[in-house]
Amino acid sequence: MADNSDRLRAPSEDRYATELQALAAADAGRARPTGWKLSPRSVVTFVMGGTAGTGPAAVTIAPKYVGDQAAVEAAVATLASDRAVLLAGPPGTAKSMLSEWLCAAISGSSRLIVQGSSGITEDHVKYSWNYALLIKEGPTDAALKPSPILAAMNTGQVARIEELTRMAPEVQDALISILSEKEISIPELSNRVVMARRGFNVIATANTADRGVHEMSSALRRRFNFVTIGAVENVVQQTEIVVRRTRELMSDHGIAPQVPIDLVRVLVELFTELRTGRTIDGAVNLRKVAADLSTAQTISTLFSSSLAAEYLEAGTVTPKVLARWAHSTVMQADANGALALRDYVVTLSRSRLHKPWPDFLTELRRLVGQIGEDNP
Amino acid sequence: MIELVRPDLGPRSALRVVPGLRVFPVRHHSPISARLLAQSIRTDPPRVILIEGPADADPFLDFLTDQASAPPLALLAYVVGRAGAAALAPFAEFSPEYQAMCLGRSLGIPTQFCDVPLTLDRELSGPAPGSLVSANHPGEERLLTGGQQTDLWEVEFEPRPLTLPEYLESCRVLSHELRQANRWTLTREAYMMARASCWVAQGVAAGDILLVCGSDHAEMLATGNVDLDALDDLPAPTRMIAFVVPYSYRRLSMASGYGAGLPTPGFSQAIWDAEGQVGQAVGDVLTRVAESLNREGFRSSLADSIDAHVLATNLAALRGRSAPGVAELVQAVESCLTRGRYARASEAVHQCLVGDRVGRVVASAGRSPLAMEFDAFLTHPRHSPPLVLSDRPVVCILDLHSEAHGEISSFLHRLQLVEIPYGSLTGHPGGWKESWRTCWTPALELRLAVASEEGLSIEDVAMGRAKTAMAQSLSAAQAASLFVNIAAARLDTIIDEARRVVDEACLNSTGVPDLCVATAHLYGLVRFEGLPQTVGGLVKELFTIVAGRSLLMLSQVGPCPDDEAAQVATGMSALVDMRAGLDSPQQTLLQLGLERLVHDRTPHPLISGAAAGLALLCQSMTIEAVVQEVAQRLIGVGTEDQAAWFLEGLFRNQRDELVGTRGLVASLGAFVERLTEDEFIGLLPSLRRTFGRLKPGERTRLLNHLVKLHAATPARPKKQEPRQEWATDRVMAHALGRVRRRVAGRMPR
Repeated sequence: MADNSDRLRAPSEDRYATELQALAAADAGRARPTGWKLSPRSVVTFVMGGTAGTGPAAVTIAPKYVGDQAAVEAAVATLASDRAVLLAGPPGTAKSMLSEWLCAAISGSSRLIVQGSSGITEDHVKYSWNYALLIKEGPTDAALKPSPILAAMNTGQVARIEELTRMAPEVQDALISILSEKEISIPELSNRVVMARRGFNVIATANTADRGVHEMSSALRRRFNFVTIGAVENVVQQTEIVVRRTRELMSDHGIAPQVPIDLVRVLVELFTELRTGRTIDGAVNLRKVAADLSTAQTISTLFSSSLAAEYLEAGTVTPKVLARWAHSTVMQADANGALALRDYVVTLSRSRLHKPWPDFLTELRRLVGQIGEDNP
Repeated sequence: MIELVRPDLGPRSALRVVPGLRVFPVRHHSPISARLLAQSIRTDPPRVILIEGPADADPFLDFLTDQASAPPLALLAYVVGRAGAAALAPFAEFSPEYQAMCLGRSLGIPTQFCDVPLTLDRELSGPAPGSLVSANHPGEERLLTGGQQTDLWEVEFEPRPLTLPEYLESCRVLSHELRQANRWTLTREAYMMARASCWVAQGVAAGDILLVCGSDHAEMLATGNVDLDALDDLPAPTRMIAFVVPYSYRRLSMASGYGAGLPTPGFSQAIWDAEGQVGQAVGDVLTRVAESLNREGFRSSLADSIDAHVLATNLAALRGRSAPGVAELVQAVESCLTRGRYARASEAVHQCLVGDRVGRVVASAGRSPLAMEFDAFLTHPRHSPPLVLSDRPVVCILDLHSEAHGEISSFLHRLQLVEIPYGSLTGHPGGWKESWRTCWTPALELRLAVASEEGLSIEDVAMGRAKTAMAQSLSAAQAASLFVNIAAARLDTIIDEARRVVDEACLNSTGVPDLCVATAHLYGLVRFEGLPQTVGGLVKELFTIVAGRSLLMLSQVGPCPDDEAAQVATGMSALVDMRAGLDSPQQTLLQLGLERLVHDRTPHPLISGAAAGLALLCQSMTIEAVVQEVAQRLIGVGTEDQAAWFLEGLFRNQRDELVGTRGLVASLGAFVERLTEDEFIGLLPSLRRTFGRLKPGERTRLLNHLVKLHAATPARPKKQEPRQEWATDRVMAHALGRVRRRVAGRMPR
């Protein structure tokens, strides 16, 4: 196993190598699709958590995805056939993480990835050339630079495509023949046709917030099975996700500030209530923030607060620090964020009297100013 | 309709516990139970078949299994004189009991129901059931909830290719582990055993008697672990009437609230049709779902259906199930057919899984005369379409130019008089068109049966009910409503009597709201074109009299309580709404009445405010005059409380014109500005009701006027001024801040 200690972020197959080994050992004798490192049931266990093996040698598999198990099972069952999966859902719902975990468990590698954007071309999806070699030797195998998808076809692994709907339609269309025929033809190499090895498949992600940026053609839609990944609205589950993921990030960055769990809960409640436009108990309507304040943004805010606490404060995330970063995130997400935050503070400051709410709201109030101060 | 007669079990001393019965455990409405039971009967025909079902319902076996009948069907029974106490026993094609009846009939095997008769049913005649006790494991809580049992059955039984011995053994284990028995269960088992004992007494061997019962009872009955003394718990008999009615899959589903129902009858039917091949059933359902989705605008191809089938099968395998169930099927549809747009398709998918089959009952089944008339009318080619026998709500638009539609209209109005819940009129009758929302329910069959006791035709019963209603003391509004129904139902022989009742009620009525509502009812009928000419003339004459009386009363309105004031305001709106139907002197009377109410300080201010809005609506007052009156009311004389009531009445009508008038908004602003905090908080409920009526556009106009009046010009460059939402937001935030500070100041710290 490679030494990952100096890496900013280790891929899942390295981070969870022990778990994957334990699951593979427990899988002995179980049927698995050709090219898969684990059986489908173990893949689900790897993502959702459980145990590998029995007796004293059993290894606890940490749950990674907190959400709908049925959605994960649908994705795994799809990949067990030769259909590709499209994970669709609102931003910040762990679609990319889920695709990484699935690839790590199925193929043992999550690094065959095409990041969709308006700048990528068909070369990124199929293949390109080392032009120095191409000029020197002409089109040869050595000069050919396979895309992650072509590499996955050659090795029988699962490739990932992030943000599929941000790719231009003509680039998206290059996927149609790959997904239906499972082959790429390379005319420059004497019309060679590369046929995918068993185990090859594609997991794509698409953000529903991007709907309409580059709508997928119906031909391409038909080549994917859609699995909808919804936002987690349960505050306890969200808190669990935020704590776990932030701890991972802190560990990656070698920091360990104190993060009181009450404060995490405050942040999760704040973002959930601003996102849904009402308090958790449903009793009070609030002004909604136009943009999605997702779980990912909650994690990012908490992690930023942790960094600030570690390097700029006394090593503890305080209500004051957290309020500053929460304010910054909301303002960044929505131009009218200040109005929403003011409304929030004024409405709830008299009812949220238990710790650490008063300190948090006092700092937020200071940041957003009193209502009427800067308004006529 | 047949009055139930319970069978004679003979002398108690002759009854014996019979061990060795051939008991076949089933789950009600289960394809696998039905299939294996049929297989068992065909391969080894018994001499007698006993089915868990009310023993006094034997006469209905022929109707239920008649070639002209088609499931789903239900046996419906009610206690004579107490229609609220009713019992329903539905049967689908895949119900094992139904298959046992059909096979018994076709193979010539004597077939009977063997459970406690409905006439002795404790639920219908006695006290509530006692607490649960477990006969197998006293004191132990080992029971699953109904939902868990359903899940268990759906996962462990239905999809598995069980052989007969495997099935019987699985049921035995299930019965042993999950049996829940109370005292009444033991009584029922004793009764079933007693019925079997009668056959044994006639010389039939116990092993030749096939007893089809729920798996809960199977073990006890098979082993003879039954106490016949439990028969002492049978209650005193009640008189019951029963009949067979058509049923539907929608009603059979658990979603309809039927406790013993199943989640998806349509899927179960598909499994039955595929002879237990669940994979094939999944394919059939997916094809139907795809067709249904294509009608909804989705483009799902055969290839997509195949993909969905593969995914459902893979999912089932991943979850350790031998074949896909409903959960896998729905997920496959979501993933492969709707491709992330399931929310739009869920209704169509649900319909396919539940199914829309409605049963049919043979004509000779002894149904009530009203039920037969109802069926005959609905299925007559003149009436169907637009009428349909569907258990989903169907909108039926009638064109009263058509004679057939006129017949339908009067038929539906008659059903309303008889309180048969089939059609409900959407809106008041008026013009040449009527819109009805129709829906058939089993409750309707019960009402028809009960109503049959009052007459032999729907017309007779409707007339009887109308006469009874007329004999009671009615308010003007009630009498007018009844008159409208009688006229629309074309009960012409009693129309004169109904007119006299309305006349009397209006003469005796002194309440303005009552008279206004009565006038509104009659006005609807004036515009109703489906009446014969003679009746139409009568209606117009009556309307003129009642409207005249309402208008006279309007001039006498004085102080009244708040709730009555609201009723008067509603009644005035009705009068203004129908002013086109008034003659010229009456219109003048209306205008004068409104003007008096606007300027007079005696009536409740809500009435005055409403009168001002209505006067503006019927152009008897100009907007300037209304603004002047509003200014006087709000910032002139009177208390703040009265002013708020006036505002509430005013904003009931013509809001668009009012919020667009700067003078009125200025008075409004001045009124709110001068309120103290205490006054403001006190008036908040009334102000909320007032401004809550404003639509978003009206609210924006009002706020923009306020902005201009306060010269609160936006600080941003002029070119951005068209962003009215921005200006509105600022004012809203400003106002919000003020309101909250005021309210917060009142709250305890």
